[in-house]
Amino acid sequence: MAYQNLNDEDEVLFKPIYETGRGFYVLVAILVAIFLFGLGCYIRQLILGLGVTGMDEPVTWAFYIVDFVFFIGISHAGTLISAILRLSKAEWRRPITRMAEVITGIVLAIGGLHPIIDLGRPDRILHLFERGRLQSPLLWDVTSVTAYFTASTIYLYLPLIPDIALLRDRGGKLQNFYKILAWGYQGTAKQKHTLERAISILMVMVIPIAISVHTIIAWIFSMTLQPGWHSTIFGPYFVVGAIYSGIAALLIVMIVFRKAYHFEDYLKEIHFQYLGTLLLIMSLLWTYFTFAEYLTAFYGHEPEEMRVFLYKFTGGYAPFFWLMVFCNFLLPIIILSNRKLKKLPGILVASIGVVIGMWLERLIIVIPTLANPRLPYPTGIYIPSVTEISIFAAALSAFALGFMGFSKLFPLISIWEIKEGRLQSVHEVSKRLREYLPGHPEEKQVEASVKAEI
Amino acid sequence: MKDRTIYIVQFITLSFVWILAVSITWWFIHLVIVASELKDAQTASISISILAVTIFWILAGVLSYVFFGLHRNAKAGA
Repeated sequence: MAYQNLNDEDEVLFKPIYETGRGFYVLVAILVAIFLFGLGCYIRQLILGLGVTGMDEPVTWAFYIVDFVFFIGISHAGTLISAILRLSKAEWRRPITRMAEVITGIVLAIGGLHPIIDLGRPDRILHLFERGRLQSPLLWDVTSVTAYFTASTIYLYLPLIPDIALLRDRGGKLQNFYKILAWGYQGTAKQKHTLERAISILMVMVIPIAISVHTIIAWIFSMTLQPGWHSTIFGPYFVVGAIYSGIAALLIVMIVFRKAYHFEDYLKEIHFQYLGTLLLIMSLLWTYFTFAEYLTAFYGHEPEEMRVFLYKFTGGYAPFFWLMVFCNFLLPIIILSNRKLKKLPGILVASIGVVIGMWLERLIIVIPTLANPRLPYPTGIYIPSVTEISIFAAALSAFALGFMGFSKLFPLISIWEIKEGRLQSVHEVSKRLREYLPGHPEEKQVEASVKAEI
Repeated sequence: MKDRTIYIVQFITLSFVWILAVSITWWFIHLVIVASELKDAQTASISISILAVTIFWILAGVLSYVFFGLHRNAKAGA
């Protein structure tokens, strides 16, 4: 359908829904091809069994579990960051929250499928329903991921309703689809109040759910007595890593779609600066946790622990370990603490580095422990097969396709929140400033100063 | 599409979240019964179930509150 310019001041945000260039279709075709190849590999794995993967005794968890932890970690980009920014009334959140929430929904769906992909006989997942043990962290994980997926889908949907209503009212393509999803929203004061109240409840609920998800994933490892896994700080360590990789993924998506859809007027340098600073803080926090984790293991010097420790530091996994340290610590610190480098290209490089580094971190946590079991077995060898690599590539393609598909149906930037920000932000910020500042400055005076600054 | 049909479709989509909440409750009750039969950490199973089930019911409740709230407060005839 041809794009209808209704001269809305935020017309550029509607444009990607109605206009699609040739490049989009080419990219979709490439991504679909990668996805189908991965799907074919999975069907082959279903027929031939897990023998087509690189997994073997003692390394019985590998790429799929690494990808599972990685994707669920990325999911913290959205709902958690969006909820924290909304709760703290950070005005700069307005153009960011939607993208963050979409990332969460898509990666959770992808990540949640990975434990099933890891099963040679996926039909056996049914045993979980019949004879699952509620005291097992594996079952906690199924529950918390399902709860997080449900909560974050609702948390994505509710703030989307006013924008769906805008699309419905514009007419054009998929009218009935938007009518159904708009739930009769017309923007009346009472409707706004209902929606705001529900969003407030959800943003408070979503934070502990998100934290529980990655804590429970960490517990799957740390509740075992395996060297390298049995650690009390694994819960918070995983949560920190998840938020860290989530912010990096969000920055990558923002930079790519800003360029592709010409959102320069909405996603400004300042948004990247703020998120870049958050990324830097998370980098330092992650480094602190990593240091604390490994120092404790080294200081205890238990033989089994040291076997895993040395395998990571100087053994077979040393290249991955040191590359992880470079990507997660050195690269972001160098780029993000330097004003000259902390520009869009630098932030993009740092974010890509962090995403790669965090994937490596998951790899380093999962495999060396299994390759060096407590029992007196020789060190295991794990080399991923084409099947595992293809399925990982397919998962990444599915993410890109999901995000691109979403952008063709709904605005990637929350239009109503931008409009609301234009109308209310100055007054809100002025009101807050009056409360912070000593003395009793006049409201008009503060408001004039804020406007002058803008 | 008629307004009535749209409302019915919307209502059906809302019912999915309730189906999920009820299914999870039913599943957890079943698992607690299994834990009880096997004398396998029943107290832990009950505590975890109560926590998890509550989350799904609250989520379904919030979504229903919005659904009925938006429909009730829509402009008449719009």
